[in-house]
Amino acid sequence: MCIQAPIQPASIPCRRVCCLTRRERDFTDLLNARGDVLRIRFTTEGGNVIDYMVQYEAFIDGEYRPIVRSDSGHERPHLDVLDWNGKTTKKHWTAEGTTNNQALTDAIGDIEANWERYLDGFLRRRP
Amino acid sequence: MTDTTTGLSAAERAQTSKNLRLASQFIREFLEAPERFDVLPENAMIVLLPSDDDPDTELTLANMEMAKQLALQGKRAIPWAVGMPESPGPQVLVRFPIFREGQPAAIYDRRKDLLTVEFFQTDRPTMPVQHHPYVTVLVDPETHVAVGYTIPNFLAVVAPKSLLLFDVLLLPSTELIGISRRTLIKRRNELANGRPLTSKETMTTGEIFEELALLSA
Repeated sequence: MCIQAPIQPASIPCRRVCCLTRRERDFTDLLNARGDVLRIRFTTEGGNVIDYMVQYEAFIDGEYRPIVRSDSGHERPHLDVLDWNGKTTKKHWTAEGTTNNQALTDAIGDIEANWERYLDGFLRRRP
Repeated sequence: MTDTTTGLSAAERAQTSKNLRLASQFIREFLEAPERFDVLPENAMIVLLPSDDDPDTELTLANMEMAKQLALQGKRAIPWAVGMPESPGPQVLVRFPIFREGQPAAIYDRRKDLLTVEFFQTDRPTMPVQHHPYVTVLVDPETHVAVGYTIPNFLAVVAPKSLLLFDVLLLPSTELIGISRRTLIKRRNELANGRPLTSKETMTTGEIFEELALLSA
């Protein structure tokens, strides 16, 4: 519930005393001129990530192809390496006790470190 | 030369790696201060730019070129610089037209809570540039001249901070969608603490920008 201080005259900015509104946000981050993207979707409450999804997609043959995805489903953050049909070929679970906040930032870090390997493997599995 | 395993050129591979690094920083900054990102609309397509603390001219130019190409295709990608200070300056060089006493065309859409102000009428696609905590400037991607701006969360966030900006909604020339003038007057009375309604018939673009600048000070 959001509580606001009493409305002040227009010259003084109003101040939010506290806000625990649950908020969903999603962004598509363009990665290169070919059109590859990083899709990021998450729900926050205060500063805590309630759930998230991060997916690296390559733009190939006129379509977005998910290459690797990390999300907070199955009650534990994990990373799925995907095949040409979007099915999971490998699943990597995060360490037990990892918060969604940490898992979200770790997921992007993992994609940053390994995206070429994931993309290479994906293209090798092309039918 | 295109790499046969990824299908990307060396430049595109470098761009991808650097943009993923910026994405990590973007998320860290978001989690630290999510309210700063309220200016970004839902489902935003973003093009991240390096911060002034760690400049990368090559990446900035490549990413701005991406945004420009999308704008020319009628799609919108919002350039966003990571590592921006609390009171960010312009992220890209935007040329503003000289404001004389010309009247901008203002449209307020209650369904999106979005105020749009246009300096010129144009059919050309525009590129949104986050110029200010509350304002997204619409820029011609070829000339970098600002052709207008949008203010999201206008009634919810911006208008309560300034009666002068709120009164843009009550100007005779402002087109209202999804809300009546009567409802706006009622809301204004709640905010105004007895101050009278504006008697202004017009408001110049310069006055509006001055007020926005004061809000960010």
